[in-house]
Amino acid sequence: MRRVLVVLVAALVLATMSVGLVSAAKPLPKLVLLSGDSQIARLYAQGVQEMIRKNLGIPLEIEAVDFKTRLQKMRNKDFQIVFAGWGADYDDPMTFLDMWITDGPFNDVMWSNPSYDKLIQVAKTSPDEAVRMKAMAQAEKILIGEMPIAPLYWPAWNFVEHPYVKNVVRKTVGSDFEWKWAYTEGRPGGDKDQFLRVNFGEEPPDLDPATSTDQVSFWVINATYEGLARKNPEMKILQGSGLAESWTVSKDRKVYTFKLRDAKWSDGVPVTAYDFEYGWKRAVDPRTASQYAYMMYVIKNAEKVNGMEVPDDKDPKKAEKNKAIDDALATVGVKALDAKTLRVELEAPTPFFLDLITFITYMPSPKHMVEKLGDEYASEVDKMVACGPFKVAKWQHEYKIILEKNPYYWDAKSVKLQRIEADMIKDIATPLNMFDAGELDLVGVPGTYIEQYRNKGMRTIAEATAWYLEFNCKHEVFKNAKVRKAFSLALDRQAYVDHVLKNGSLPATSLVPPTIHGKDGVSFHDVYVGDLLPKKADVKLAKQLLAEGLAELGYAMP
Amino acid sequence: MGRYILRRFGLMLAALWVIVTATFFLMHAIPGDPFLGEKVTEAIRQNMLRKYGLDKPLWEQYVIYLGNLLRGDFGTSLKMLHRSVNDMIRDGFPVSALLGLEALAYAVTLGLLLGTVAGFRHNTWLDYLAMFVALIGISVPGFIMGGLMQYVIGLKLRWLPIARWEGFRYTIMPAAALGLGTLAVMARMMRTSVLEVTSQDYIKTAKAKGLSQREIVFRHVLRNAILPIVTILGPLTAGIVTGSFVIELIFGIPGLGKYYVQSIFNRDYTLILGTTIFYAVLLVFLNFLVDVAYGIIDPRIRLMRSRE
Repeated sequence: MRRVLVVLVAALVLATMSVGLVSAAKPLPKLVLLSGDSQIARLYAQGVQEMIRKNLGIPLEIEAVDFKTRLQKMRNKDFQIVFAGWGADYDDPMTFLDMWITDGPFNDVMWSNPSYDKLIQVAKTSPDEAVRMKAMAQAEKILIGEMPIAPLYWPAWNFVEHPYVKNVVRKTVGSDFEWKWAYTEGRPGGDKDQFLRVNFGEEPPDLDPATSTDQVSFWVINATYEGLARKNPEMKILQGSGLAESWTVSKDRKVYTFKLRDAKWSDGVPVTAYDFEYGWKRAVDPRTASQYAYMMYVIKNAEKVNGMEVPDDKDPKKAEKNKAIDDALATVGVKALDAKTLRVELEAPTPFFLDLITFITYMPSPKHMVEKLGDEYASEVDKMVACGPFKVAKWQHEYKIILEKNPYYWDAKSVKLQRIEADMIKDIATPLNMFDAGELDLVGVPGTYIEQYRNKGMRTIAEATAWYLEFNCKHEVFKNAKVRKAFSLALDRQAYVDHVLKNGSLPATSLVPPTIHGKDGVSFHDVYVGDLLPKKADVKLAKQLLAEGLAELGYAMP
Repeated sequence: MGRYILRRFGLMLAALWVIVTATFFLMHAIPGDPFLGEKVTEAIRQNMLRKYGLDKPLWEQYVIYLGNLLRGDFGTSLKMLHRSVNDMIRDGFPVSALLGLEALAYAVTLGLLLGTVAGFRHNTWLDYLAMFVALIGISVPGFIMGGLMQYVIGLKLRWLPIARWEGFRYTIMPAAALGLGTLAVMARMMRTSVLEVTSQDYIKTAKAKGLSQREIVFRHVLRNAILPIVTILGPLTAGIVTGSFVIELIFGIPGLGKYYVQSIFNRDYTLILGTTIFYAVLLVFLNFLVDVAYGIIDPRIRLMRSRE
């Protein structure tokens, strides 16, 4: 009897002590996941919410806001966890990695790691591809090791085309549609008239390559302009594939000299090296206010000039400041030595520079038109010219755009299509109905329709994009790396893409998607990085890390 | 009458000023701005804000905007940087107006007919049928009806084109979908109105006088029953001719409707203001027309005015 009493008392004491211990720890504050407010975005956020609830026992709250509000909150660092994504600007791992350096312009998570910064610096300046790859792989391992962001999935895009549609190339980076080599064979009604009918989904907001930023405009500009090179259907960049006939690279890999071929704008005026110099400097000029100016920052002095102060209309020193910008522009590392020779000097040897020259911001600007029209350039059909395989023949704003083969194009013999007709229908079901009725030749298949089209020749294309959760590294709970890792390990990425996304997306086992190439055209992820994250949730380890992390912070387990 | 119109006109201007001012300050209170983007660095964003005058103090922007507005200049869209809001409205409005008027014409005609029949054949199968149609019109949203028509009439039967805007054939389905709600409202209002009027004493008087049924219906019942309809016709017309976001979206129609939604999503300040002011002007003007028309249709109002 006495023994029972002792045990009881002991148990009571222990219980009191443990209650005391628990109450000494603060209760976990309300944790909020910031997400978009579209139906799809909410669904995707709920998928995360459910995994965190099930695997960690934490009730995550969802704050769904519209696109601009979400961006503003991210800029203001006013979030705990946010659903975010990034699409590659060029085909090099750097496009996903340099944004996480200390105080980087897109580093919303406020993460900082000196070793990481150093590795990125090495990869940005080394002329040796092998050294760069190693540095970037190591950097990615540090990033995933500390988990300021938890990669979730690499998205895929699905589309169907009628069997008579041939050779429409889908690129993973930049303007994703390439129509130069497309044609039809076996179209009901005959192939004599070579044309394609597609749906752009919306009006292209800006067809001026120096300022354009959006996907639809990129489709049109990629079809109607050409840079120094054009990627071939195998995504390779070869000499002579674009308006440059050939190029040479200096020994230190910082100076490129391009020899231009005989080419003409669609009004018959020759395309010269001056058009390239003019176009690139226009993009860099802060007075142009080009959103994609940062794509030019690899060029010598471009970043410096782009950051210069633009005078206000009422500024008393307006003339002075404008002159300073003009003078500075002359120091930017792009110069036409003569009509056929373009010399480009870079800040550092940048192996992916040849990828950049296929990017829209690197297209030439027709000096003879832009100087005359200013900001009105490319606002209407008669206010623009083309130097690519096609030209804009008709533009009914917010309704339809018709591209026609450009007879002045240097490689016109390779272009079989006479015409591309593009609608601007934003609805997702209508274009599918039109495809089924034979009124469209190629159409995207959104997630909810995938089952219907799976057996109708649907193709799935992996995108060079990553979606991830960003943790605010200054937040009272998420400043702890163990907690961040616990959240990441609680995500069942495979189940998420299989049961929530259901569109052919892949579980992201690292940040840089497998579609991004490393040295010698191999997949950077597959060869240099590998799977840094498990595809399935590791609940045991996640809970253990959570307990450790919360104990370090002085919070109670939920 | 002249003084009345002048006073109404002054009130209209005051109402518009309030709308412009409220919209201006409210829209700037929404988080974000036109140049905030996933890939826009803070430095470049500031640069763009400066270029388009959005870095100035709000009151200064307001004064500049009002000045431009007085000259009839709505400014440049901040999303479509190469297009003026005036152009966008000029291109989009005729399309929306045509579609809207077509929808309105059939909805009002059919709606009044259904309502009248239902009113006169109260509690018969005709009444039930008409009200069933009206119920569907009210409860099925336009995008469901539009999508259904596209699938059945466009894709399966191939009677009409699924989408696009190339001629009269292309207007039939969107107009039908757009007008459905209005038709239903018209039918229900007209039925109620007819029922009310037919129980009035002056109808009994007319019957007692021995007027023919035809004369009673057209001269006494319909003329009085239509009055409440005329009242809502103003705002209804303003709403329908400025376009429908959903219908334009589904049928790929280059109208004005989508701007009302997209401009807010994009924080396209100039387009938000331009479309709002355009709608407000139209609404205020149509309401004014309705008031004038009222005087013509309703003898009681005419009487009151002449006493004034």
